[in-house]
Amino acid sequence: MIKTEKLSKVFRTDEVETTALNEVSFEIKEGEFVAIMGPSGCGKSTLLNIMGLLDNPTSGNYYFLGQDVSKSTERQRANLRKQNIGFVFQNFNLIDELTVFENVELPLIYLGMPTRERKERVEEVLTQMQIMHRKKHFPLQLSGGQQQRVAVARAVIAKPALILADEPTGNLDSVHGEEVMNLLSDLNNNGTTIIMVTHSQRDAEYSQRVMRLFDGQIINEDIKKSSFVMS
Amino acid sequence: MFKTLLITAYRNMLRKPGFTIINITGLAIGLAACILILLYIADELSYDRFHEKSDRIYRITVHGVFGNNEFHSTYTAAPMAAAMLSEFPEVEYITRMMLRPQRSVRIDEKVFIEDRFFYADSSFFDVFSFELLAGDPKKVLSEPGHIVLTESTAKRYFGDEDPIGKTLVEDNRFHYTVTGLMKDVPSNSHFKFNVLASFTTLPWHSNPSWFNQSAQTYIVLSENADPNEMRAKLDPFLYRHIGEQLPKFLGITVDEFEASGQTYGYGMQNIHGIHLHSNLDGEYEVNGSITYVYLFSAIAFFILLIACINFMNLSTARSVSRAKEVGVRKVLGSQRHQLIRQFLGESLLYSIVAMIIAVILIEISLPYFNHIALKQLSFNLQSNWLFIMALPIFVGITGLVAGSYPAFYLSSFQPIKVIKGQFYQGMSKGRFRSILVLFQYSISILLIIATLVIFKQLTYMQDKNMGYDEEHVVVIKRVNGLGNNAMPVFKQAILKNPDIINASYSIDLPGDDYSSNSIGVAGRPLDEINIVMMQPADYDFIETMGIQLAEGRWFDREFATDSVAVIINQTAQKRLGITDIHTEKIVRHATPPDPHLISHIIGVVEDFHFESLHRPIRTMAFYLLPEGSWANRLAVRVQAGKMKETIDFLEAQWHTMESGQPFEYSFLDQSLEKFYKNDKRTLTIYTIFSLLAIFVASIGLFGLAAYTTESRTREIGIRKVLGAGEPNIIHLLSKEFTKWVLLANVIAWPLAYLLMANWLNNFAYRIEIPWYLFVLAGLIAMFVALATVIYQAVKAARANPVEALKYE
Repeated sequence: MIKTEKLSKVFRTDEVETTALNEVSFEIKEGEFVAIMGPSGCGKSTLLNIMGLLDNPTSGNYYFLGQDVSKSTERQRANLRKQNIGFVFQNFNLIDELTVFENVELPLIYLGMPTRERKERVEEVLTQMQIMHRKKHFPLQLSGGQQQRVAVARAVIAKPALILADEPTGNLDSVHGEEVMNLLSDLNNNGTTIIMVTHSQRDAEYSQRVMRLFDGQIINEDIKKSSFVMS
Repeated sequence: MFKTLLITAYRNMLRKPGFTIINITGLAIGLAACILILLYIADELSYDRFHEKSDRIYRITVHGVFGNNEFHSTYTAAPMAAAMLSEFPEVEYITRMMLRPQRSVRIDEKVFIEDRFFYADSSFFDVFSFELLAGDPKKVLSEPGHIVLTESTAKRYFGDEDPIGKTLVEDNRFHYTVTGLMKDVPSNSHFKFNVLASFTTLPWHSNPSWFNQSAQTYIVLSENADPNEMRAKLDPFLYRHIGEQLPKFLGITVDEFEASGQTYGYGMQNIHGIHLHSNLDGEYEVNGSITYVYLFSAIAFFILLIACINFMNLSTARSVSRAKEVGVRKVLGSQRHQLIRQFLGESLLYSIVAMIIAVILIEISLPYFNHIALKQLSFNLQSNWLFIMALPIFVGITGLVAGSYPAFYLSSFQPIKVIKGQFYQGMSKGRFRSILVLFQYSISILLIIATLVIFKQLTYMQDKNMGYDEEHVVVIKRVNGLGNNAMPVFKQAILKNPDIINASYSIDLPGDDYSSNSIGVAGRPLDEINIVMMQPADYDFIETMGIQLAEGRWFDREFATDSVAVIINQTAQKRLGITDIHTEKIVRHATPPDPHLISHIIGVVEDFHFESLHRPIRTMAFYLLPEGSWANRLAVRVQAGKMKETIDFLEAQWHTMESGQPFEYSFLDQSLEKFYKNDKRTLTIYTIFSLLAIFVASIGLFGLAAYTTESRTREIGIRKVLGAGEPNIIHLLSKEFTKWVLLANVIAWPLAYLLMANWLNNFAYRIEIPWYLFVLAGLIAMFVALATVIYQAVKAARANPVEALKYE
């Protein structure tokens, strides 16, 4: 599903040149649950942004679903993104001015789905995430765990093949954190590829494979569990 | 305290330079526009107030209904002044005045044409406070042949020589000795003159008829006189005097006249009201109008308000970034009133800076503004000290209005919440700002519609078929200067030029101040009278002017009796109720009645506009101007494209006549322009100021869009991550503002309709306001708003969403 070849990302400001990623090469197959770990500033988020088609690499190649997207335009990336990728963020990134329902509905709007279908689909997912009773509430009226459930609902609403999670439990207590990890695990069991950046060893336990990043390079990969890789 | 206040305000200005520039620019433009218009209005309101006795000076007016004609005029009869003075103890002074345009003034071999040649009684300087530089005010006009010159006229005539005692000749007829020298007439006088001759020089001054009205009469009431009591005495006074003459003039008594439902009466206008409120027959110049004073006041007020709203909007929009400061200050012990004072201080500082820039803007733009406003306004301590002293008050009010809402809003923040970062800007505040934007755009759209309607009406007047062919006609003025014998010779000579199609002598032409007479139909009761405009003209008039005949024929050399025939216009035919022109005859009234003044009607011409389109076409009667008789105008129809060389030819031909009179001409198609001076000025001013209004509103919107976009950066980032494309984001951000602009139309349209329908009532011939002007104004406003917001929206839409989410 994802393949990188010598992927590099260099940030330049007036004085400093920072290499966030340094010729990173790896492959992630469909259906995998991969955790990316490493200290702050090692390039985890940069890598996630590139994989999520939010950013372009400075050099190297990035194949997403077999297609080289390292030179894609913003428009092409946006199209691939909205059809295939769902995001879960540490700080949820819900829009405060929209209700739970409206937040979850957003990706479908951008996919151009008709209103009636949208409504059915959103309610289905909210029910699945056990947050249906909160659909008319605004994010600030919810607990952290509830907010993250909404964020996960939003990430899966368009049935993406890939979910990118950036420290999904970072702002949650352990009980709510576990809830969210179970949700992600379930999604993975149903065939969704999941790539998760995390600091937490416990969360990493849920994955099949851990990629460790240090100073922009992959230092090792370990397979935690035997996986049923679909090729 | 005050120092920290200033320092914080100053630093705040520097910290957000974009915000500061937008606010100060908006306020400065608003203030400058407002002050310019106020200068204009102050000048309009200052008319005739420089006369010491101005609150006691009144002009006598004449009103009446004769037959179907209603008239309101400033023309009064010659014997009235003496009668009033002797019968009314409350009349302190009285003076008759008359303006004769286009008089020739000969000084030795030099000839000048005076367009503003006035005659006045010797009491003129008792009534009015014009400053005499030389001569005794009691004596300068006391004898026939006395004349007073204004300073600039004296300079024109005699250079630096002392003008007193010098002699001059008016129209080769009246001889004068200069007895006085006066300062030029101020521009805010409703009558302006260069030359002031003694009234008794005119033979008309002793005309005994109460029905022959040619002069204006001004009185000064004594200090304790009640003008209303005086008004009540005027009609009895009039009837007392016309009682004797009415039976001779109309063949009926005063009682019979009144019983027939006709009226005739005198009125009084205070001189203060003339410039802005009077529009009678025989005004000395096209007056201003109070409507325009209101319209301009509104625009001044609105522009400043739009600028103040910008300030309120941007300040509250910025509140997120100011909230922390407020919280910290409150925790440290600042009271709410101290914070209010701080924020008001800031807005005052803004308005002071804005005022300084505004003054510079005014200084730069005043000459241009004078040019378009047709004024000689000045902005300096000598001439507007009161105004300039008022500037600080102006600054204060602007600062308070602009700063009040932000001050109370910002100072109300709860310190704990703000410091803990729980500050959340409610939707209601955003809504309030949107409503202010709605208000700004409503005003802008209103002004755009007003401008478009004025433009449309003026275009309509320019394009309207006037009923005569005004193109390619040059009008030679003062042709009587050639001498009566030479006039036919001149005409024959110029007609030999193949580029000249036709030429016609007349007394007046469209745009001139026609003299009127009362006429009736022979055989009907004498009191069935009508006022007609007199148009004496020669045989070639109809062809030269391109006027169409509706019935009958024009004057013809073949018919000797045409010298006593009359031709009327369609309005006259309708008013007089003439069904068969061959059987009815027209009677011109005179005292005593004159059988020679009964004329048979030989034709009816189609109505044509000889006056401004502000008023309906009036009745007109044409009499034949026999060859070689006194005429004032020569209309010359020229081949298209030959105008320039033909004028050269006419001028050369004129000088071969050796009359010594200057050659002066104008074009027929420009003859009515003077009536539209006010309307054109209004169009220019409205165009400029509505552009300014929308510009100020736009820079405010620009600033607001910048802040809104900034505060929605995270949301935009999230939306992009979730798949929103650039168009989605641009749409999202633009619709926020465009919906208010759309709504502004709903408010502006009905208001604009009412306002402009009211304005159009000033015109007898007017457009129906077309619906598409409203749509056009809406589109213009929408376009400007979109163009303003789109930059921010595109910038936000293009931004990398990662940047927006990174620093959360």
